[in-house]
Amino acid sequence: MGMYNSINISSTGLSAQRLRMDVVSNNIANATTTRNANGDGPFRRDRVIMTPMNLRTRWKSPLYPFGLSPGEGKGVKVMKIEKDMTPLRLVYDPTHPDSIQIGPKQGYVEMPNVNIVTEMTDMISASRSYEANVQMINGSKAMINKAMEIGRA
Amino acid sequence: MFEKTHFMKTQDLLHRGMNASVTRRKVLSDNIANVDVPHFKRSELVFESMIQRALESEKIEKEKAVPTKISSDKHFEFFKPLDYTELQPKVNIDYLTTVRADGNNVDIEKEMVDSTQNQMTYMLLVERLNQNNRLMMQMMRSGS
Repeated sequence: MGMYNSINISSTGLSAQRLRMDVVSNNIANATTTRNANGDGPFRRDRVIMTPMNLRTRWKSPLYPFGLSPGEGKGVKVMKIEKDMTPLRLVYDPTHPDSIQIGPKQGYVEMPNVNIVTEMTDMISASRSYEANVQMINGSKAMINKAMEIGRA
Repeated sequence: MFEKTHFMKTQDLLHRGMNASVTRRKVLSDNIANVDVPHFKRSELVFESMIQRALESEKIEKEKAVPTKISSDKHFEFFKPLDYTELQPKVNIDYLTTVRADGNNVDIEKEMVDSTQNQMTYMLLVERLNQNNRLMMQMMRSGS
């Protein structure tokens, strides 16, 4: 129904932000993991890529007017969770079982590229966005309740 | 039965206003849900200004001292009032601005304020609709 659509749109935002929060938790939990599940190197941080549900053009052209009439939008979805391939942090610790044995980096351990400060700011951003979506749902609820008063006089 | 009365016009205008309000709520929810998406551009709904223009053009037509006489279908009209019943809420995308470094232009404060305003407007319209119904009821009772 018409009115409940706005609650559905906000709920897509809620689930996307919740997933982002889960990924941040996983990154922080694995901040010092030097061995990943495949055994081919340290843990790399995950990143959530989000996109609008109804894709629209980013440009404006009279030759393609459909990009300009996207309707009211359907919400947000998570496109993928990708690995962040930025360089890893090197820490000198020759006694570590995962330290590099040969080459110019001998004695160094490759640590995950997780930056705690980035993760914390991401976490705050996700939880604030979650709150904004909750607020929208509460407002929609108030509007529906008000609409039920029509005709009660 | 009451199609040509002021009651029905008020009812119709309130109905349209509430419809636009619900659609605006969806647009604002979509903007807020997409607040963390890079390169997302916010949309906004245009309705009130359009309906105001249509109502003012009706007023101009009514207050004209000498009405235009048209004796043939092939004549051009000087001034044609807009029909408010044909207006639909329009969703526009704000393509041209950028607020943040990632290309997103959703300003969360503005969206929250807009949604609160929209909610208050909706409640006001519901109140007015109830008041209008009460008046009509009173009018129908007063005959008996």
